[in-house]
Amino acid sequence: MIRKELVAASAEPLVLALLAKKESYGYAIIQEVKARSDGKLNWTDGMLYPVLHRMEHRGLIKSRWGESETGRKRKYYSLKKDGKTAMAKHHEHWTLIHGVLSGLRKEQYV
Amino acid sequence: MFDLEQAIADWRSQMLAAGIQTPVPLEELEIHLREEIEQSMKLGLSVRNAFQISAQQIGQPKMLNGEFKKSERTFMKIGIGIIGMLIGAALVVPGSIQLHDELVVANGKLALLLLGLGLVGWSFDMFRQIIWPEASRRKLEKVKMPLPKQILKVGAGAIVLLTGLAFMMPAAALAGQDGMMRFADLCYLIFGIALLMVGAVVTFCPYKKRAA
Repeated sequence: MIRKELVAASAEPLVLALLAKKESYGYAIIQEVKARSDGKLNWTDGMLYPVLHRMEHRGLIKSRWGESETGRKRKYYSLKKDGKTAMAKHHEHWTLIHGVLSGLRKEQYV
Repeated sequence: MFDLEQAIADWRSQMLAAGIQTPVPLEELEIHLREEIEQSMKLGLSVRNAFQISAQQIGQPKMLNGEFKKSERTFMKIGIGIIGMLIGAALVVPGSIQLHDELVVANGKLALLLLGLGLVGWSFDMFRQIIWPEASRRKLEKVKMPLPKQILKVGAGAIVLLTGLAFMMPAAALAGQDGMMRFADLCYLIFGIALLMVGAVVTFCPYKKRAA
């Protein structure tokens, strides 16, 4: 079980990275995160929407209403220029943390 | 017989009761709930179970509302910032016009001018909190200073504080006598107030650094 603080901290970079591939909507974002983490990163579904709204207010992403193949209304989100910059920053920070942690772990086994 | 539409209507009422009253989040959550129910039913769950599991997966209404409120606070700050900016500008105008035309400002207008400038500064800080929120999130940490440095800090702060008073007092005294203030004196007053504030902070506040 991943700690909820870590899940919360990873929400923004993951959403940015997913939206960098293509525009998407809440349900699909959650499903993709679940699939990519083999179900280990399990968000409370509703919590994604406040995150998306905050990111939209901050100008990182934009949204538009569209329709699914079955005609159901959907709100699609896509990345803005500031979102790409934020994603690069997140990537840099997470890579740094990963690097430090991996380095320390390697030293333990030497 | 389980009525899915009624169950969704009840779920909506619970969300509304918890405070999620803006239409967009609620509509988005309902669309999500319906998609989740549909997928669960495709996997073989009964309508009732699909609804119960999906509603649970979306989360508790109160918890969700708390998260949405965080976004709404940003809008509130923008609104307060704009109102503060407008009121501040309105307070600054009479004194500025008199200063521009006569190079003096009456005491009443001076008070409004200073209040207006303060309000404009405070509004700028509201916008700063939105544009650069990290600045206020980073905690200030006390830094322990050796005694000689502490004495130096308090001494330097006191000198700045007294210099501020020296700039302020004559201007304030003249304003008290004449009921108005000349432009040059106003500059001294504002400069004096700024020095006074910096001096007070340096003298009385412990040395702190922003945490990285």
